Amino acid sequence: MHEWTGRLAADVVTPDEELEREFDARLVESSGLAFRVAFSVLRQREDAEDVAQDAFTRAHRRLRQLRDPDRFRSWLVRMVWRMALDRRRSAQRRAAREAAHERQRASTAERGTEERSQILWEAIDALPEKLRSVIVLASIEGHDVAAVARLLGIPEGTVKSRLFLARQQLKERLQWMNADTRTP
Amino acid sequence: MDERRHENTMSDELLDRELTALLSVGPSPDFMARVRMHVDSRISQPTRWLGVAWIAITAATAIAVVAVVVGTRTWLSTVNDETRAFPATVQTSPDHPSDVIVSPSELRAVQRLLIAARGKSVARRAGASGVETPLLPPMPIVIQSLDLPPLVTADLDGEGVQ
Repeated sequence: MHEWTGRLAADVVTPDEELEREFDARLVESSGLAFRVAFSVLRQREDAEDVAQDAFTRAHRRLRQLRDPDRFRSWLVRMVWRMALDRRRSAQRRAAREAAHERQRASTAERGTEERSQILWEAIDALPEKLRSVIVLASIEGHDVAAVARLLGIPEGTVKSRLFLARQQLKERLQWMNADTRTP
Repeated sequence: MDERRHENTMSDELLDRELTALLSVGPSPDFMARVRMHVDSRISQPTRWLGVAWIAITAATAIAVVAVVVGTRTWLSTVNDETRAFPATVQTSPDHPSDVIVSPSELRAVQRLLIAARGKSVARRAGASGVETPLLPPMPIVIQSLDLPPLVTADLDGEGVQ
């Protein structure tokens, strides 16, 4: 009886060590990805880290179902994306206020770089969500079409067509940037 | 016009470079440690719940035990009240007015027998010769009291026990 309760307590209290090691490995290989996906939506380091952390915590709870590394990453990306969007919706007003404050503080040189980034982000934000997720993931960690397809759980052909459309729309919106870079 | 537009259009390479630069951000160095700590703190929460659960189970068991004990005592006191209806003391003889304790069940059995005998509801058994022996009149129960020698106490002055 004591042995049984002891074993039960051990099962409940002490998680499987092998599973914990797997989680640590997933954390090392996917923390950057999770953070960047969150950052692409939120543009705030602290917020992006909070969202990535929450997503990892949820992933840890479901680790037994997510033991396959590919499955883990794709689940994580989708979870981070969704959570980041939720957070952005709730914190949009605050973020706009802080961004305005930051712009006021920044120097002229910084403002130039920031404006450039700002315009890029605005162009990305203007994309439909399906195109946005594809172009963001393709721009992170050099993901190719197959990797993006695995992460989003969609066919490679769909990724290709969405990437094409996303690039077209971005290029059209960012024409002036091209002109700027050519100016000596 | 179209040519100029084409010239101003960003190349895929440039666009990819811009996007890569935009997204080449990483979490802070302590990010992984913080996640690990957060997850560990979540893991320890079930331990606390388990402790509370064990306390609840122990308390429930204790309450159940107390309920059983109280119930048993109540039942026993009810039984004792019933037995008090039949006094367990019998006067043995005028010479020895001391009380003699008789088992209540035995006393009740004897009382029932006497009542039945008075009402002649007890069949008289025929003797070996087949002639019915006359029923003896009921007689009071006389139980001789025991004469016990007085207890010898130990000598406390160190001479040992007698």
